[in-house]
Amino acid sequence: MSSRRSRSRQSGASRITDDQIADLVTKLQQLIPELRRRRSDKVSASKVLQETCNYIRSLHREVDDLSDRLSELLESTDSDSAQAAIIRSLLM
Amino acid sequence: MDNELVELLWENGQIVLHPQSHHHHHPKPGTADQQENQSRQINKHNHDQSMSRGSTGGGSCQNQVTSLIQDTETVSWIDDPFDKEFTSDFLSEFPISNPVEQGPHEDDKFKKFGISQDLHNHPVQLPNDKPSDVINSLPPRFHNFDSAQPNHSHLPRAANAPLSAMADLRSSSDGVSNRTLGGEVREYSSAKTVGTSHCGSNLVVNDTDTSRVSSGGIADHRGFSGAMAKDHRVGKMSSQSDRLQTDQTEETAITSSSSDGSETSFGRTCNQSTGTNSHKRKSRDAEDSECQSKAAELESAARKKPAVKSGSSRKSRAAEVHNLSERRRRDRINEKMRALQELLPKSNKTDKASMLDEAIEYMKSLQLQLQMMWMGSGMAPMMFPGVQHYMPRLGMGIGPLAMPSIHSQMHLPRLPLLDQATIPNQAALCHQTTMFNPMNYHTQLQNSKLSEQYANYMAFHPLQNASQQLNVFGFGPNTAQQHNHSLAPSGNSNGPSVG
Repeated sequence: MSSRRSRSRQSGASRITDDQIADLVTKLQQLIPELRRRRSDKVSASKVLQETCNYIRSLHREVDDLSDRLSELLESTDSDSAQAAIIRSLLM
Repeated sequence: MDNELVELLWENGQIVLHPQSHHHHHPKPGTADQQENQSRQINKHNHDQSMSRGSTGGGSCQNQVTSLIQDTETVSWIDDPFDKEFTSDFLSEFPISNPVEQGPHEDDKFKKFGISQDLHNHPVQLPNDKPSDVINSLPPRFHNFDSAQPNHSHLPRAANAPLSAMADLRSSSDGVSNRTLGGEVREYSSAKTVGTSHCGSNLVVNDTDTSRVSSGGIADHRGFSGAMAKDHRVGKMSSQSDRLQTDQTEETAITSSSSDGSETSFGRTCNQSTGTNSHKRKSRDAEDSECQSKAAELESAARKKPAVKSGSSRKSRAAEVHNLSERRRRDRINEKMRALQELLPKSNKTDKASMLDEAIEYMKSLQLQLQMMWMGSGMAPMMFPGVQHYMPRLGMGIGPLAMPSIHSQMHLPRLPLLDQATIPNQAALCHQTTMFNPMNYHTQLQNSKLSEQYANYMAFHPLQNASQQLNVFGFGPNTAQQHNHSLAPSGNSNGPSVG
């Protein structure tokens, strides 16, 4: 099959095997809460990648929300208090 | 104004128009009105479209107008022997001009197409002049061709006179693109003045299909003028945009193998016009290049299919189908990889494995950071007032204390053990609750071991209320009480668990 041929060509050039990539995809899958419950064999790479993108986006959103909350908290406290320092360090 | 233009043209020309030019003046006023309307429409559309079309497009359009005007007026030309000379000359010239135009610019082909279509519709607008239109357009075209080289667009108009020539033109450039879509697309992408083709299509839209105008609405939202899309092209455009945003369905590509070029340039124009989409431009461009290669592959595959027609074709077709589906799957995966790459913080890596590695690390760190922030937002209001006293004192104390926890590399769930271990040390330094030096805190955060420090802080803090958040780290009300009670250096059984 041409696909096999092309794959061998690729691995010869880049030393990255498909197994390696599959391994990484599995690792990725285990990080994603949605996919962790599923049985890993059935999940396709594209699904994992899609879920990863979605998950990272949701994490970003969460970070933004929390940042907003923290900055609000920061404003509500005295600026030299310890908690203000903590919050500031959180917000970096 | 148009009259003056006409006169100028005619005067500039080398052609023997002088006797006829006088001839023109008379019928002009009568027919000038309807021509002016068209010219206004043309000019308006010229303005609507990109200014890059500029003078050449406008000029050519105006030339169109003037030619239109002349078309109606030059009824008498049909009988003129001159005309036949022109037609013959022009016919001889046309094949010559074709390769000339095709060579340097593909756009010209599209222009011709647009104009050929325009001419098709032209009779609708100028029913009277149908016979004369084509023929009479020759002299002005010829004339313009000589005087002003850039007016390539006029040639194909005249080419319609010999319909066979047009057919040849069409068939020859069929593989390149489809009609005005390709032309208009190229127009936008290359910013070349395809003014006449646009003029033509504008005329078309204005005067013929209302459905086109409505479908042009779909194109409008992409920043194209309403005159842009033909019916089936619009369907393809919207499907193309969808495709570019989601999976790439090759069906439409397969159906019109000749649309490959227009696909890619369309994609580019989509980039320019719909930059607000969530998909960034560079991803689009990458997709476009993939589109090109994939489209080319599909085209060859599609062309292969009809060619082979036998028993063996089934196998080859199945193999092709498999290849196509395989390619589709890979493209989907590549698309998602690109999308993922966009999300990751700036990474130079392009190969899949390292990108996936980075994605994994990034996700882990994001999760950690979020946990930190949750704790921070939960605990901040709970701080009791007296903590500030301890800050400077603890700066020194926490340093060495912090080291073990940093090096312990413990996971979050194991924090309670850590807390137990550090209690005696910290209690030795300060009897009351500990407070982390924000500087230490900061570095620790960067080391992403903050969770332990945080948990330590929380552990020593009499925060019964915060137990709900502390549960993230395995803190329960029991443990909280344990910590509170065990501030005194009474090592628990978990004491020596620090690494």
